[in-house]
Amino acid sequence: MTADSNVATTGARGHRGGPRLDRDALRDVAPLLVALAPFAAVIGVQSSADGRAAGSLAGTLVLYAGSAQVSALSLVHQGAGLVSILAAVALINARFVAYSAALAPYFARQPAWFRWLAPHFVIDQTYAVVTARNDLSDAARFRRYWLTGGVVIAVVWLAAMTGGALLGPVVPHAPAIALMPAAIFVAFLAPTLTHRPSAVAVATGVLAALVPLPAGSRVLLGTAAGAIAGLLAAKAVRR
Amino acid sequence: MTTFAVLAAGGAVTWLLRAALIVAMPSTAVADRIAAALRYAAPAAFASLAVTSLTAASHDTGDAVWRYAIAAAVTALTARPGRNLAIPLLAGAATVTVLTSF
Repeated sequence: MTADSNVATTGARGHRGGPRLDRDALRDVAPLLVALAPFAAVIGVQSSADGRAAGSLAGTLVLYAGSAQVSALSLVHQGAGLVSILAAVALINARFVAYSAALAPYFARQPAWFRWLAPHFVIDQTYAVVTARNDLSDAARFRRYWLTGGVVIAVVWLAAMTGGALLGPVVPHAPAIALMPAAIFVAFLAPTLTHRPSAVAVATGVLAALVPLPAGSRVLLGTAAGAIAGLLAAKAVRR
Repeated sequence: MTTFAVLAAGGAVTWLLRAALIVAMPSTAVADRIAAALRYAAPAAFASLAVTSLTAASHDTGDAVWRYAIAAAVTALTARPGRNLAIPLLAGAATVTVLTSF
């Protein structure tokens, strides 16, 4: 398929020649937004309950990674130091290195501005939708698809989080709100527990995090111990 | 240290992870080795964060930690791959609300 035919079948030019949105990207990310929006709203409510709504909203698109944001906010709330927080964010987002490696061929023939700025949209969802398609080999088409998906997710994410932050003050500071950070981590984890090395990593992480140390140190200890235990378990499974 | 500064610093670190293999060294072999070494870091980090968040929730509200642990277990039992995150979160929230109302 040529670039021109792609524009004809999947692009939508604005009436005044404005930015073109990729219809395929809109179709692909729409179902993902249904799952992302409540997550963002919960972070907004939680940020509001902690009195950090403004900073959280201002910083959310700079970080553009929901689970890492919950981790960072949770560790700030627990009084962890900046180094511990950044180490936790780096470990949680380390998977983006693998995503970027898989996406690198799509970026190879792009203009410099795109290669420097557009990796900001590398997240689980954009990686998933791009790798599920086989019609993005054209550089212009990929650029339009990638920017449409990334920007739409960002706009919905920010809107949902803002909604949550605005609702926050009228939501009573109940145990259900206090539970949310832990519940989000557990909800991410639970589906991975059927895989034995992941279960070993999680169990080790839990046990190490019970060692009486400051919160940031417990998270780093648990992460390092769990990651090593998971690798050892995977090696044992392969034997 | 403001919340924005922390998130911005986290964003800078994350951008390096996102862009390094695209801008500086697009080598799949290197990426594969890094990804393999870090494969279990995220689940281990989430597990540790869940523990510290549960103890923080108990400390903040004065409720016993076991109530939060049970609610977290209900959250885990109702979470499924691909399922909307709102369902397990609501299940956990309902559980802890019931448990702390006695």
